[in-house]
Amino acid sequence: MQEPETIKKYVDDVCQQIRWRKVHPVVTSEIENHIYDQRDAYIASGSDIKTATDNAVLQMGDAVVVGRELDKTHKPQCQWTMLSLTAVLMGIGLLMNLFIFSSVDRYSNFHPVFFIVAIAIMFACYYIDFTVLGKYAMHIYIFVLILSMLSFLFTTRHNGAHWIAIGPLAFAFPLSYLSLIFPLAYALLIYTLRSKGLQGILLCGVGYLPFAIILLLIPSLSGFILYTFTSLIVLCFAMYKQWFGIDKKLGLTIVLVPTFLCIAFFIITNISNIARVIYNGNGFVISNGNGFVSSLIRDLLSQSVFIGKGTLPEHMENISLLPEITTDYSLVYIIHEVGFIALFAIICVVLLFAVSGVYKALKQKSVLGTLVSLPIILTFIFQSAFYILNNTGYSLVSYLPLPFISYGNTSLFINAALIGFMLSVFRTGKIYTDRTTSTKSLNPFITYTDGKVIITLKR
Amino acid sequence: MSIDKSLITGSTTTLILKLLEEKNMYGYEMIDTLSKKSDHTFDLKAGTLYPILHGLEKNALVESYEEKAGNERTRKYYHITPKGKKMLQEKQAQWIEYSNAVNKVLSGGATYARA
Repeated sequence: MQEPETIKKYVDDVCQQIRWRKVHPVVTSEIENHIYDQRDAYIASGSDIKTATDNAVLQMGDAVVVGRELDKTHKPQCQWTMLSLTAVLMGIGLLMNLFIFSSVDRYSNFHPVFFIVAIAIMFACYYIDFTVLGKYAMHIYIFVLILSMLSFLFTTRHNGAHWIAIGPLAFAFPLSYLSLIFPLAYALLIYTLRSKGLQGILLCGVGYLPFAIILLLIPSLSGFILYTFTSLIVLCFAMYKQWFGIDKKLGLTIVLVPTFLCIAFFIITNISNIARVIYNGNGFVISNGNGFVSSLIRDLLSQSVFIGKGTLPEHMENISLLPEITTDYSLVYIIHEVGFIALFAIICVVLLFAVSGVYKALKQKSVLGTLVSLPIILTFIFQSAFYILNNTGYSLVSYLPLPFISYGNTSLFINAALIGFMLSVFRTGKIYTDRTTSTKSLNPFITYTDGKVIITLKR
Repeated sequence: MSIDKSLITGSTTTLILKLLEEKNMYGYEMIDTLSKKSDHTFDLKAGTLYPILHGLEKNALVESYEEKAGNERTRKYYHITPKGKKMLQEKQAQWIEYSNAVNKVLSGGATYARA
């Protein structure tokens, strides 16, 4: 038997005992390298290549025993806690929507089957190898960019914002939902710029702009804030990990100083507009004009109780006078009908999910793992925070959905896919290091030595 | 003199952690270093080492990263974590206590030693 085949057979025998196939390339690479190192040591001490290879394999120990031991260690980490929390969020969403749509007298197209579709999407992404995102990182960034530009150019405006309407109304959704996938696309761009130094950081700055401009043109202030801060946090993480090959303090300074200067400049030049937005959005201050909805929310919440149904304010004959009660303000309705306990229960589940998600994202072994999972969990957190603020009378920013809970099939599907990918990272991330996917063969197909080109057919 | 394997098995994890406390190493380097440092008393099989290393990594006692070697090979280096260092201290303390107790018994027992 040829020497490389002896080694390959040994490694195959080991891998046959390991049931989790995704770990095979990692084990193969490590054990092969070890045998080659051992073989080289035997050759250096005077053995011929065949004897050296045989002895190196012998030194490894019984392949079946080694494989069984490795099999005990390597098992996918099924994300029972996170899956359970997702199921709880979906369960709350399903029950809440059934309750709202059966209570409020209006035509609706809510159907529980969409939750089943969302679960299917989530599990499909959960079982996809997330390193595919790293492999096609630049393609995904460009695809999302082109898709969003085309969507912006060829969509209709309604109520001052762009909407995508495909076929029946059920598939219409605001273009601001694109902000849910922009952070991940941007994180994948960062992934492609490893060890690019200052040029990489500059390209990150350039790569941030198109999505930010699109969100400002839609316009979606909440989407812009979500995208900007998520991207900033992810970029800071990349700097901290010295992803661009630059010292972390220098890298963080390069990113944070211009960012804070831009924010300060924006605040100073728009101070009157910001004050107006805060004033108008605060229902506790003003009860007409832009503050009308916030004022209604304030009145309804002031009549709500901790457990049980609240009373209606004097000037309000029917709760359905509150606009968008089935979508944007469904939480207000639930608080009023069920009590503040519903709000606290939802906040608890959301917080638990968010804290677990951030912890697991930051504990990832590979930078790719964190670059995929961190923007997703941050997107979840920003959406939840905006929705809860809107529903408690602080309408400072425009609407974004409450993941898995507030009504909206498109957002439900997008969030299901995103969370599926995040859980895929948590499930299998421990076996990947950042160079695993680019591990080269031990004996290259073509080598150049002493002026000769050598083609190795049997590797 | 060859050492009974059962004596080595219990201390392998401690020895690996101790090696990694000194510097980051890849698998072959660990076996080679351990063998040289122990004057070939601990000639660890690679098949024994890797399941232990992967187990330590799973329990967050060590971390790994890959680095290209000069000969086109990608080496997986292991690095001890703070949790691993703490575990090493505990294992070392246990080992000292255990070996002292064994020595006392082998030399006639604590009572005899005092007498």
